[in-house]
Parts: sequence; C-alpha cells; structure tokens
Amino acid sequence: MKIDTIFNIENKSLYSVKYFNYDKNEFERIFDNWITDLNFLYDFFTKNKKDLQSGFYGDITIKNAIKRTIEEAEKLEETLLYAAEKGEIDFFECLQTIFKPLHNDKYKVSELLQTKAYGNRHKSWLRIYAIRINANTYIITGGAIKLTPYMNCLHLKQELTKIELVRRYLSDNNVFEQEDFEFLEIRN
Amino acid sequence: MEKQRNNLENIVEKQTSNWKDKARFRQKNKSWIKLSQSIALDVLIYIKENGIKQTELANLIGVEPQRINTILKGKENLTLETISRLQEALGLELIPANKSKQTVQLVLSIGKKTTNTFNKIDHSLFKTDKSITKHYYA
Repeated sequence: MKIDTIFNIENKSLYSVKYFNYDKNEFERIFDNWITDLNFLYDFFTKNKKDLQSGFYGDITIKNAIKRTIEEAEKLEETLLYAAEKGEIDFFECLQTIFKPLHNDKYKVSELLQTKAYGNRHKSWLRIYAIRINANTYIITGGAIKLTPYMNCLHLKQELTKIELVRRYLSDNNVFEQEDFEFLEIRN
Repeated sequence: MEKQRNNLENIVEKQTSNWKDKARFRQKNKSWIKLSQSIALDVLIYIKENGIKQTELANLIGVEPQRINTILKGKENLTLETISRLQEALGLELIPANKSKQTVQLVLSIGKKTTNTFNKIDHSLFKTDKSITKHYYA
C-alpha cells in the first residue's frame, strides 16, 4: 500500500488519501462501495456472514444488511460534509464533534490523532478512519464495515496499516512536526 | 498551526475530486435510484443464490453482459421493457403490484353487499384472484 496523493474533499476541512492500489480517493471509494456497489456489499456480507449473524445485530439477512448499509452510508456522507462545511464557522458543528479517538482508551485530542467516525444508527457497523490536523481539518485514511468488536480481521487490520502509513507520510512532509500523536476514529 | 495547514496544502492534489457532483446527482434523483437499487438487489440476490452467471442473464434478456453489470450497480434508470424482461427471465416480481391492498378492499366491499361499493371495486381483480370470485358468486 503506497500513498499516491491527498485530495481536498470539502472546504479545506475534509481531505482524503488516494493510494496507488485504487483508482479513487478513499472518501469516494468508500461511499461508492457502500451506497452504489451492490456486488461489493453482497460479496462482503456473504464472506462475513458468520460475523453478521452472530446475534449482536439480531436476526438480519444479507439483503437487509445491504439496505441498512446504504441508508446509513448516505446519512454519514451527508453528516461529514455538513460538518466540514459548517465547522469553519461553528465549532460545535465541526468535524471534531464527529470523530472520536480510534483507541477507546485515548481521550486526549491532539494533532495527528488517529480517529474514527461511526454511522448514525445505534450499533452502526460503518467506520471512517482519519487523522486529525486540527478541530476542523481531518484527512480520511480509509473506512470499513466493522462487524466484530476488535480489529483483528484482515480488512480491519489493513485500515490500521493505512492510518499509520498516512501519519508517517504527514510527518515526513512536515505537516506536523511533533513526535507525539494519537489515533482517532469517527463515531456517530 | 497555520504552517501545518500550509504544509498540508503543498502536498494536496490540485485537481479536485468530483464526489460532490455524484452526491448531488444521488440526492436529486433519490426516488428512482432507490427503486433501481431495490430491483438490482432482488436480481443480484436471485442470480447469486441460484448460480446464474451475469452472461447467462444477459443472454436471457437479450443485452450485452456489460449492461447486466451496470444494471446490478443499482444506478441505472431502467426502462419498463428491461424490468419486464428481467421479470420474465427470472420469474420475479420486481415492481410489486398493489394486489394485496386491493384484495382486502374487495373482500370488505363484498362483506358490505352494497351495489355502490361493488361498483367501486376494481373488476380486473376477478382475473387474478379467482378465490374471491368464487366466494362472491357462492
């Protein structure tokens, strides 16, 4: 996995990494997958059927899981864009109110914090991962559908690799010079 | 902090992403896109669960295989002809008719046994729901 470039998504508040492996930046790629790519969603939930139907999400079919994902993704996309736009003038509606520390035991908000955002629904399985530059400047490093409590599945481990890769890239490019940083995750 | 933002701007791609156009398009065309997705999802699940390849489905409805791929993405403004061909090929009802609601109305109307109510009934139902017809004439 190598970083190709970083795109400005909204208002110089929300940015998104593009990796060489993919033809779109992560923000577009994730939401295209979640909102418009039914094949992707079907294959994902079929492959992870055991986790989907483990009981945590109740009795849910693959079809309903797909419908739910699309619905939540649309709302999450709208929320992120609204916050990115509004956050420049209203601190209480900025991206910092949406993104939370990636690791639940971290509470200190700092630069280059690794963050996550969740879908709007209770028990949402949508995750967007980003690095915080300041209260309303975030760089999206990736996203995933998280059906398990821990990030030990391959596709989730890949998100951890990506977020660390971006942190180093930003540090190497003097976007942030300090050595300490924390990881954040978005939650709704 | 300003220096960091400037350093960030130095490494950001000058070309803008076109996601906003896509998001606006989705928002503007939400109602038919939802319907298209619903149809695409039913078709996708059916062919996956029945082991039907997209190329086979393409042959059945007389289109190029790439067209099936596009349809299954759920963002195609499907024609009635395409929907009809898919329904016939797969034996699915992709746009559910409002039959159940009409059937309940018909039964209630028969129960009231009023001529006026009868006149309001959709007589085309007699062609599709023979059990109701038998009950009425019994």
